[in-house]
Amino acid sequence: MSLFATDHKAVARRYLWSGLGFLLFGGLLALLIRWQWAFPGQPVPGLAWALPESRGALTPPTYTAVFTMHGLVMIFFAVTPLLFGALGHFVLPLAIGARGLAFPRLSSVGYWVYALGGVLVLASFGLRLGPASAGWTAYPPLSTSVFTPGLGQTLVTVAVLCAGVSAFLYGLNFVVTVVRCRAPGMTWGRLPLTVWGLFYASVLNVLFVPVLAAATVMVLMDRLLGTQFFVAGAAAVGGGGDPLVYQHLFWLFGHPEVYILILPAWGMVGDFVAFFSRKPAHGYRLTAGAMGAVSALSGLVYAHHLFTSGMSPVLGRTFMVLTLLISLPAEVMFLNWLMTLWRGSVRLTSPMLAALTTMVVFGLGGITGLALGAVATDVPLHGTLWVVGHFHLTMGAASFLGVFAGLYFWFPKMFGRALHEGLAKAHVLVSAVLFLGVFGGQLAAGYAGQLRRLYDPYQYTFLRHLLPLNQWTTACAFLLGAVQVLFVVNLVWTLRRGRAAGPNPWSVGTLEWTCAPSPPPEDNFPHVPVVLRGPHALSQPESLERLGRDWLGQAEALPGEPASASASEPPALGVVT
Amino acid sequence: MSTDSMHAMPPEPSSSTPPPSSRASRQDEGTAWLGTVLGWSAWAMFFVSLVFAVGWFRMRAPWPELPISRWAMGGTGLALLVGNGLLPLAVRRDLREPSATPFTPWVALGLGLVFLALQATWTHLAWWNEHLRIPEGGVPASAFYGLTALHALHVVGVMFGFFLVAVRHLRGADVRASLRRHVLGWRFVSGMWLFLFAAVYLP
Repeated sequence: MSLFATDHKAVARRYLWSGLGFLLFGGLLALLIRWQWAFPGQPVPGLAWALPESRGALTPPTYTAVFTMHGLVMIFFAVTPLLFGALGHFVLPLAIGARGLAFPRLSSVGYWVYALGGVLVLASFGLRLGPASAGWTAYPPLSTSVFTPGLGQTLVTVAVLCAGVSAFLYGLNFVVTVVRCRAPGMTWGRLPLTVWGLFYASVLNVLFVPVLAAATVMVLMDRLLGTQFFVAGAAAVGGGGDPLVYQHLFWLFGHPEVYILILPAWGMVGDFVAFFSRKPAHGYRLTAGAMGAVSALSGLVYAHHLFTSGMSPVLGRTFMVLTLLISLPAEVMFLNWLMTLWRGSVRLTSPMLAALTTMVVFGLGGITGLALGAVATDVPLHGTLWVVGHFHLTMGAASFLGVFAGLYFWFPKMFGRALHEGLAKAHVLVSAVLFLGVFGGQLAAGYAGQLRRLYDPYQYTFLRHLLPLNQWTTACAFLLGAVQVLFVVNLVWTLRRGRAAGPNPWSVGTLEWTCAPSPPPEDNFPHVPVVLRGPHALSQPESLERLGRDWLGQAEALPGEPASASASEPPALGVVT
Repeated sequence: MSTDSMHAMPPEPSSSTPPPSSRASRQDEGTAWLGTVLGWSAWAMFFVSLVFAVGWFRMRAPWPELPISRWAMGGTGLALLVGNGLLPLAVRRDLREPSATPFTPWVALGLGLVFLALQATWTHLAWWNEHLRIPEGGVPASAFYGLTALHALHVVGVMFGFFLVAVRHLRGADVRASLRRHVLGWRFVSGMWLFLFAAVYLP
């Protein structure tokens, strides 16, 4: 297969392998951070080759670079590309009955821009002063050349710009594809919830990624051309700029980015709880509307990240109210999922387990976020590990489990082979429990006052008693890393020797499972499907009575049902006759 | 943006509708048009963010008058604004006479070059004759040079698009649909120049 193929499935596979590679890399960096908090200043076993001068121990500058790169790699090069680049590219055209994305060449270009960014990130590790080390947010003036000299920070800033351009391109592609390329009969009310999630997140991508691009370009100009947009204080020349502007711009992108990362996962959870409860999704329209409401509000709440940066109290209160408001549509969605599960014939498959654990970790992450949305509680908690635990539960654990829910669900369609269910279930369950251990430990340490980003927290007497807690949390993190071997083994074994998957192993009715073989051919469908119903036609009495099964394809006519243009279509794939 | 392999809806047979290939091609054009409109509209957020930043700085301290006359700067932008009026006329002419060499790319390239040459002249004069330098000039000088350069890069990008259209025409391709889309790029840079003028060039 050509590396420059423009078929959406080929692009998706390229994103998948790159994203998984960066996930592994970002995860290893996370383990280094955890090691430092458990055994501060002690050599990391096996790292002496990389850090010969300190015999493998993390020095303060190395530690700073490690936590910076962990955040950047995970957000821009692992989780986002896996959700959109891999799952989004693969699923979206298939789920709406399109033969491909609206702009196939654009999606391929987007991948190569992302890949260029990835190469720059990796190259930055080989530089004399190391990679970026101004935190993943790259706040100036720390990220300007005054405080972080060297090429590493510059390369990584360009890499973030590349990831942003790539996100803008696929966001635009997805929006236009959903608007223009839906199959006949695929009305907005018949879209799978996954497509709704991807659509809303893509709208946020195209609206807010340019804001990140503007902020990043200004930082680059400050670093390379000597402009003074964000340089302040003693380093400033000619009056100087204001670093606070960057914070506003960054979070105007950064907060919607949280939703960009979780909306596709929410969509998948909505679909999977319906599929595997064998029930139509409860309150489908309300769930889709709630996702829209969250998307609309997500651009209006960003300044809660700046409560401690200096802000008018009126603005502070306004943003607090807006932030707390956003939890209402989220609650609606959550309740709809629970109602879907209620009295359903729940099948605990690996995608379902991943969806359920996504609900749990996201619920916990959301609740712990309420304390950060209110000014009075945010001020004491803002600089602590509480924030780290909160956003790792929402952006890290929930997105990670969402990615694996999608991967376990669509893997048979992607590769035509079925993963080992037992290994997949064990991977999901143990990962979820360990996520709670790691990020729960961070929440507890943060509540006890441990400040974030400290090289050696125990230099403060009042934090010394937290060492055992941090060691316990570190043990959970290393176990979490080890458990990923289950996935790797499952993946490698399945790709080499896995059993062939049927066209519809989950017995669901969406187009990719009922109208396309596994894996789908280049044009996706032998015939463009004509959609007759919504995505969750499960356990319908007519279907049970006339077909003897509890699911009905979206483009499948019941015997005797007027089938409009689909009369000449073949029966749904995966049907045992 | 390519329209070559865009997905098209399946045609429904009807005696009064145009042939399927023409309908599919019209739909492809519509898809490309929508993508272009949405793409430029969304990318306007890039300039909105830059203007937000400049607005922030302007609220903090008085914004000094630039050493280059505002009339000169404003006159420069006329090249873009005139293009807004001329290009649709040129496109209309090109659509009317598909066999003739299209005017539109050449009008765009000419006006774009005039605009860029004038902008380059003013920035050259500001730097060398008026000694408005970065970093000594602080934020106003940074905004003047930085945002002018970013906008000019967008103008260069749009001109490059027109250049490619001209090359494709010389190779015998039908470029009428792309001409209409590329004019949207010109409208974008004209609109963004108005932002730039109000936010940076006016005291």
